[in-house]
Amino acid sequence: MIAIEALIAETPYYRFLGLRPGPDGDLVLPIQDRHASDQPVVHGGVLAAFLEAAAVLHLRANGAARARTGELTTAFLRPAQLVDTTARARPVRRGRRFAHLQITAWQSDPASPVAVGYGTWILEPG
Amino acid sequence: MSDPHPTPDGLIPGPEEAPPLRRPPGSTLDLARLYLVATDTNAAHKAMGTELRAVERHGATVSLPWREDLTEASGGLAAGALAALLDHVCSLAALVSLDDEDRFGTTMGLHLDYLEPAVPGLPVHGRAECIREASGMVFVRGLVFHPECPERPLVVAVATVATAA
Repeated sequence: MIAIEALIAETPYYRFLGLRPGPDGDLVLPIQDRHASDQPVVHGGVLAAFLEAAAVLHLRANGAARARTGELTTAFLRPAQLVDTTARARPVRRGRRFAHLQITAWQSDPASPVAVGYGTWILEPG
Repeated sequence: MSDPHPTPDGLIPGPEEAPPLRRPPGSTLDLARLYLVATDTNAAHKAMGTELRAVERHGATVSLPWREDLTEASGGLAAGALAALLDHVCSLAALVSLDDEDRFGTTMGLHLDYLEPAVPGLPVHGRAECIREASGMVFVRGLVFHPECPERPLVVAVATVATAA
């Protein structure tokens, strides 16, 4: 199992977002000024990117040599305040070629997510 | 150097290499303000270096430069950066289509199909257009492509934006 830190370090865009590993395999998006939209909330596109990163890093940390996003659907459930956000990716089915994951992102309360995502990732040999 | 073509009313200068932005017929939007919303007042997009390239009556085009810090391991612009670009350009398309800032709400859903990865070293454009406004929602579709090859989209999106109650 590869450490999440090392995987973040090798992807410039994940460093740009400032991603950090959280407890229990979760991923944290520490709040930064540049994550805001033109309102005092986290930009929706940044949240979608965060969910995508959480899925890819989950697969990579659990043995996938490469995981390329095939499709991703994001539902924005409530405004994301300018505080840290945490995401947890849950594999729904992981096959030989494709993996289906559900990702939940929350701030203070995991039971009140700010965004959920569902998507398909293409598993490729390294 | 003096400009031999003075800017007529209704136009504001766009980025140097881009054609000037023109307000589409039938629209009452404030182009200068839209340009700021698209580029400057949105912290996430200012940080990414997006530029508003074109405005249509029901659509918009935004560019994203190739920058090393926005890439994934392949060297192309990262899937997440393209997601952020599409979210942005789809909401702009909803805004210009509604033609009324007070009715503009928040993005509720974004679906992305990643047809192929971005080519290392190349910038992209995101273009979105509103398909319909119905049931308190604006339905938008969007594309990301390399400007050299607009007929071959890299990412295809559909988004829903709520109208303000």
